[in-house]
Amino acid sequence: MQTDLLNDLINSLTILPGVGKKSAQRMALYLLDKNKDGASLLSKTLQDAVETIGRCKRCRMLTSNEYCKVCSDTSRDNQSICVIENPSDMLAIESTGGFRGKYFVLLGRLSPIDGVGPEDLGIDQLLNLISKEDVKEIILATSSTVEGDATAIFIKDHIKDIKVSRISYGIPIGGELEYVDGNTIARAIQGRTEINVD
Amino acid sequence: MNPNDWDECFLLHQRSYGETSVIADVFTKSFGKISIIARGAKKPKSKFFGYLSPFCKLKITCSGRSELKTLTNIDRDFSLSTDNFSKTSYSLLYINELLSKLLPKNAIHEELFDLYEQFLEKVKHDDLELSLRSFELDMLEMLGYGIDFESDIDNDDPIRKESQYRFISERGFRKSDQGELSGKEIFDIRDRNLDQVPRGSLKRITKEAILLCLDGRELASRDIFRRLTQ
Repeated sequence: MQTDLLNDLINSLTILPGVGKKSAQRMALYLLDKNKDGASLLSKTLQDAVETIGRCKRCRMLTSNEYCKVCSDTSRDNQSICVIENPSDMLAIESTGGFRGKYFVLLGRLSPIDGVGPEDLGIDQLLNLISKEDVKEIILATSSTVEGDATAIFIKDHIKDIKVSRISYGIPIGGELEYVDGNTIARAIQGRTEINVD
Repeated sequence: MNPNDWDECFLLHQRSYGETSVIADVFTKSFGKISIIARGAKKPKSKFFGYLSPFCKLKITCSGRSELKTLTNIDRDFSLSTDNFSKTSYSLLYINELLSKLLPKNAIHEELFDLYEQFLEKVKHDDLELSLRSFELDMLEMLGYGIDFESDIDNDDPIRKESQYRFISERGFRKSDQGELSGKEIFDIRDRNLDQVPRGSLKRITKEAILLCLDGRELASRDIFRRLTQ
């Protein structure tokens, strides 16, 4: 029986988010027709990545080593841990350069209806980490939805004797009040800060 | 469903669909529980952004003929819903999980809708545990799983105030000298004078009755609640 590799490749590419049959077809034809070197490199890198990338032992971020780049960086502040939902949140915070502590990735948020409970979020691993290291502050940076808040309160409830903070809600920089939704304005007023001019 | 008719609803659950869209289960006043898709709802510039939130009354318009309706407009009174998440909210998540699992789709339950609305208001001031129990009992009754508070299951004798009874799951009350509830307490449950009834027994009754309706499905919020330090 003849194998239809081209068709297999097209079908495999459709597993990517946002890629349908038509785009997959275009990608496959481009790789095979126009850029064979690139295609070999892609397949090799993908194979290597799938085989070697796992979770960081400390923070559950994706990494090809035992510990991720942030966790093994000795110049970073060991005393504050920022708790986030997804690896992409770490990339978002890192790109701002505003945080010099370390992270912990939950890989989701508490959502009873979807059957996501505390065990799935590695909360025991987080508590274990806190008890072993000299942590002074936990920053809860889960999303500002009901599930994100439920997760934050749940974690806060299990941590004793350490400062636990929640990222603030407010007006986006460069935004005009008129166009901001009511809920955000209400939260921004509640969480207002004093102006300190040096 | 007419695309120009505004309907009141509460959000029970939502999940992501594609990169920016959301599929939500909502409990509407006029159509019962339905699923709607909010296209682009996760984009900050979307007109739905920030609106889809549980525990507050939303007004929506939808279009479409299939089972999954398309959300076309949404409105919400922000002045009523600035409360932050608290431990009470876990109980509200539990009620939402219950409604998600027990309410049949596309069946109108106006009475239950009103009950849910009153409940959300009541938990802000009243005793949380008793409000929950009272909601559970009323909900069971409205969904047709009501408990018989009038007669003994063995011989249909009317329940007597001075006798002791035991609750048997799936059936009702049976006379028993070691029973945990007196006939008077059973009547108190019927008349919703719940503060007169031992809380442990009350909780056991509603828990068993709900377990029966769930047909073996688990409630994940109960598990989370157990792990919270009270």
